[in-house]
Amino acid sequence: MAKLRQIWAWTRFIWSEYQRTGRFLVELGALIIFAYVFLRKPNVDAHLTATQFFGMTAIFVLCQTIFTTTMMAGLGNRPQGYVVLARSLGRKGYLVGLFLVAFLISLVNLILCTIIVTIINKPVLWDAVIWGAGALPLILDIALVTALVLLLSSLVLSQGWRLSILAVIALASLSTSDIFTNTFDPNGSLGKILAAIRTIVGIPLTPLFAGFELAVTRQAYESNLNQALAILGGQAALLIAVSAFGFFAFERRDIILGA
Amino acid sequence: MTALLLEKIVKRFDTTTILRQLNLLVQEGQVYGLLGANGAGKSTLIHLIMGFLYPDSGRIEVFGKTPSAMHGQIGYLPERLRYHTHCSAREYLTYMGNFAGMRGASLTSRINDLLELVGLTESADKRMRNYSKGMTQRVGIAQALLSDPQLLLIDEPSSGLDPQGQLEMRDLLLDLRSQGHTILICSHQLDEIEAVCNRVGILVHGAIAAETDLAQLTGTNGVVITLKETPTDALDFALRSIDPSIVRDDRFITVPENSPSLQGRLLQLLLDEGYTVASLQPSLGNLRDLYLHVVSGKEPPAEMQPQAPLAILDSLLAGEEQQ
Repeated sequence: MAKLRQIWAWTRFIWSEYQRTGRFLVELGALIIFAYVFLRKPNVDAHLTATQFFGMTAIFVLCQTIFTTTMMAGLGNRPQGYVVLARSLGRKGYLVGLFLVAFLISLVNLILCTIIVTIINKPVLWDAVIWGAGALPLILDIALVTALVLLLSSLVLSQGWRLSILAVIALASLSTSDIFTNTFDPNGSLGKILAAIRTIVGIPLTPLFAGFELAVTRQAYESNLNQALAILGGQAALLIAVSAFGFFAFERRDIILGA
Repeated sequence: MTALLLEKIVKRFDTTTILRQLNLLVQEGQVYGLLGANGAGKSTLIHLIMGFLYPDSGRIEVFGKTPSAMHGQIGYLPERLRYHTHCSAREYLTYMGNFAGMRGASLTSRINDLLELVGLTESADKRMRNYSKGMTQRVGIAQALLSDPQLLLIDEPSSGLDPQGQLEMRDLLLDLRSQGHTILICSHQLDEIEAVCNRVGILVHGAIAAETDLAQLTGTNGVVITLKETPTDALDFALRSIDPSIVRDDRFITVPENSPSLQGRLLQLLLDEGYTVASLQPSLGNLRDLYLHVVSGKEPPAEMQPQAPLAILDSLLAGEEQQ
């Protein structure tokens, strides 16, 4: 309980730092532009669907999550952090605080998008169940992206590790039809080897992409509830795994905060 | 009791070796000054003790425990004046206390005491961005003392301060010394170390090249008598009654040179009072001479060459057993 209070104090402190820097204006501006361009009702006959809302909002919020988390990692990677790290809050608490603030900002953004669309352009068949069905995997994806970006920041991982993980993500994300197949003959030896590697390294990130699809379409809830639950479970498991790896790496590395 | 023990510490960054088989021992209640040029490895050493960095090899103990086991119990004043200056000093200290698990009335009371100690009670509610460097550094001292740490690590306390700020910082450090804090101060300012510390080590090329009690350096033209026991205040009165030029600092008594009759009377007094004289030797010049001597690559006098911490501990234990 005492540790939770320490982490919460640190979270409040970074939140106040975030407000002071004025960078929330960037996010607020982006939200206003996004809402004006994509969420407003263009004409009387146009009707927004929940799938369209989640399709656009998921991309916007996840991109904003990357921006916010990068900024939080920057706030944590300053010499001021030494004095905080010297406290019994510890390295884990330090990282959790940064994660929480970035996550909460994205969550607020998602809620604001929901409120705006409900007021100005209410989607067809829009109710709390539909919103919850799409929002739950999206919130888990937000947490996952926050944890991943924090993990890949220079605060947590060394240069070599970051490049290695980024290479794995790039390989896993390669499309089977475009760059990959145009560059390597899928039936050639190299193509087959790379395809196998891509399949293997792509498995850990599957819950992230499946969660995105579930948030947008919500089909799995109706066609196969077990599959939907498996996706949510997979997202939670991946979140725990990424967080654990982040804690492990941050606990064991030399901390040299940026100048 | 041993407050800080570093044994055979090696620290490398990529291919550059910063600390090479460094040994250091700081006793409880001691104010140890670590002198060294910029880039000598002073800040690296402090970051190792704080647990921000891990040594490549060697052993670090703080009051007999590893740095990670002592986490939160070591006060730390960083080198540069970099704090979250959007807060007032009181807000900042409250947050820092919260991060350390402190809260409520005890935290408020502790903050008030510390603000008074560092002389910031009047301006405690102003934003720190409006503070002078000296004031900001005093907030730094207050945050370092917040958890009532057993060991205080201070990195370049006067860095960037104007002469007035430096004097204020020196007074503050002397206050802390008089309160019995165990402190390790890293600095390249000789006069600051000379004024505040009672023991000094000189860091050259990543290792302690010379180490001595400052009382042995303060009189350039004198004789230093080292006692085995720490004298009582009553002895000071007796010393002054013999001759006002006799100076005592902890177990070291400095007597002007070429004063055989005075030295004889002093020794007689010490023996009559039941003290054991550990050594009597000419004083060894001032700190500046020693520093320049050592950084130029020359060997320090034999008695100032650093010993491995375990050898020092063994000799201390042997002394206690004899008593």
